[in-house]
Amino acid sequence: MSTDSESEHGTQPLYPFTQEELVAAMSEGYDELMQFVLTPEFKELHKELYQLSKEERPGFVRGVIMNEDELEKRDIVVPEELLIQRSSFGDRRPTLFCVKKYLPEKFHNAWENVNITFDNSHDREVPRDDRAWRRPLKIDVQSSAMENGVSLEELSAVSEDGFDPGIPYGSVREKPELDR
Amino acid sequence: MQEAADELIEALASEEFRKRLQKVKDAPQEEKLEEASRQLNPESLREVGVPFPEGARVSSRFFEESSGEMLELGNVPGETNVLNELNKSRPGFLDEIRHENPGVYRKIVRPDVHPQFDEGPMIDETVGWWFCGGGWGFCAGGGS
Repeated sequence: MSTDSESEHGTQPLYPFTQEELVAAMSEGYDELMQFVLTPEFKELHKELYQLSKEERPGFVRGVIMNEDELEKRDIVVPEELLIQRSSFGDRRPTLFCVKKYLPEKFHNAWENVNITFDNSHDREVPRDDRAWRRPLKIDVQSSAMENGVSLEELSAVSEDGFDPGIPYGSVREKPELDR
Repeated sequence: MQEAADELIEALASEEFRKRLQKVKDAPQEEKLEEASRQLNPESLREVGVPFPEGARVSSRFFEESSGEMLELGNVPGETNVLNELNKSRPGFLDEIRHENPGVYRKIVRPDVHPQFDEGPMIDETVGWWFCGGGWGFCAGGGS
């Protein structure tokens, strides 16, 4: 493996760490995440979530998984170095929540965090082309769409006409011309 | 699981992948998404030797905090705003806590009771490794 001191960005080294150090930090992060999500209590919560219909799951995430009191009732204590968060992707993958760990700050110019992300069920192929780089939906818009059985791709079709639900309401953006 | 994580890390930590990330970061703010679609698509990454796993994806992403983390920055009449005071007396302290100890940070900002502070769009390059039928996967994220 190469050292990053060999890679120059202007006159400064591109990264203040070696590739081996980054690999070690990411591995340690994933180990911690796996230890947490593989506890019997979390696995039971996971089972409880996925036994619900896909329309009911976003509400369960809001009301239980994002709620420390509800987690405590299930004997789940989130380690202080981990975060449970919701998120949304530009490729419109219907995601429910993730468990995230920040890497030490010196790695942030490359990777800021590692996380394990839990998706809702979906039938459609998630695009890997330019459509993966659309602005993600607002979290509450995504959540509401899943609860009402609205395809997230249908929401993106609205944005193709100039209204992007991923940015504040009322804003309009031009569709970028992408090189192919 | 370990094997999948290791395979993903090998791709994400590769020097070529990180060079591509840097090009996205260096792009003007309004061109970042467009630049990301050029630099970070799986075919293009594989062409330059990144061992990008089959089935992995790269996509923009908002975490809840970046699309509206709830921080109280205004003043409540008659009360001291702890966050404003902390920012005045220890600039950068909240950011340090956020990265070093997210659990404590979460308790400080108390997102359940504060009005929304919209930070604006943030690009977050994320790669996910997905298990068919499992509904979950490993990801990594970086902001720009």
